[in-house]
Amino acid sequence: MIGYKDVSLHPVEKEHVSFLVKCGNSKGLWKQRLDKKRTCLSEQTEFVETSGESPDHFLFVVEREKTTIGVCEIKVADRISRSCRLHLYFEDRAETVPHSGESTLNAILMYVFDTLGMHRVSVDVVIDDVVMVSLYKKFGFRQEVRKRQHYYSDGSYKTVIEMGFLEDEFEVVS
Amino acid sequence: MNYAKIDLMQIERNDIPTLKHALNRQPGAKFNTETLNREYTDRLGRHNDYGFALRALKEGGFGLILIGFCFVEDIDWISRHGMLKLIKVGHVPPDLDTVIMRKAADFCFDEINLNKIYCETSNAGHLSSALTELGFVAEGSRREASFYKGKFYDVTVYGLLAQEYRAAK
Repeated sequence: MIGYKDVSLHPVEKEHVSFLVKCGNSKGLWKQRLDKKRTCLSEQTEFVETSGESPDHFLFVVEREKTTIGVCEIKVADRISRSCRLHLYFEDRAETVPHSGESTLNAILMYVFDTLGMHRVSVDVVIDDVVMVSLYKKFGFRQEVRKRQHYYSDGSYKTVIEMGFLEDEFEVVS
Repeated sequence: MNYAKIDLMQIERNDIPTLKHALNRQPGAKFNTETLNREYTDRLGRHNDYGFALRALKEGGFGLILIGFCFVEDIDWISRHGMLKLIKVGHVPPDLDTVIMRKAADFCFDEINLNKIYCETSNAGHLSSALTELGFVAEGSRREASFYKGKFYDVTVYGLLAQEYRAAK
């Protein structure tokens, strides 16, 4: 099992489809995911049934005490350079990030570096998403690229920062 | 050799061998003809990226010469940004870099109405003057994001906004 303390990561199953649909259609989550792709039950069911077919894409639901609290996607950006991109979003951030943010990120990073053998992981975060920027900084992610006017939301363009983290920098945060 | 006119044009099947040779110079690239035909000439239903052949007219000559390829990829149509990639072939003088990039930028901003274009490179050396002249801004560097010949290199991201491009014109 992939996990750390009370948080575990599980490959998506059919029982998670309704949760993925809810996340996919949540305006509040679009800013975390940086896309606005609405989705439906049949699309997510098909996605779950085929999600294991791509060797470069890993999708997990994040559970704490048997309750699904978020989704984690890892996409290998470059197999030769061993770099990947992480997309992590929580359904109820005010509640989940203070309690489970660190454990979730510990579990993910242990998987990325110790299991997948990645050299580098990066995340894209809207600059005013203080909660997630703080969480990533706590682990040692560094702001590397400041992407100006990179995300359109609520009628205006927002800056997105790309934060990067190397395998040599990883230590479990407790 | 001087070039009188450079244009973005459709990639034709007889361009594919040149494209294959250029792309397969990248680390780990293993493109074959069938894949490239499917990707770049048989492009039915593609709407998130564009690929062009760069053709130039030699001064005093006849006919158009293939001098490179230009790609606009990963287009996000809501946030209206795309990644620009240029590949030169043959011995194209560096002083044409600005002309080529300006053609590509004109397409991105004036034809498909993007708000931002960006490019990524681990070695901007020969392109840096063209990037600066068009108004690209270095937005940051991804540490150790590219592996080549036994070493990791940083990749620098350059961005250009439509308003900056038009102001600089």
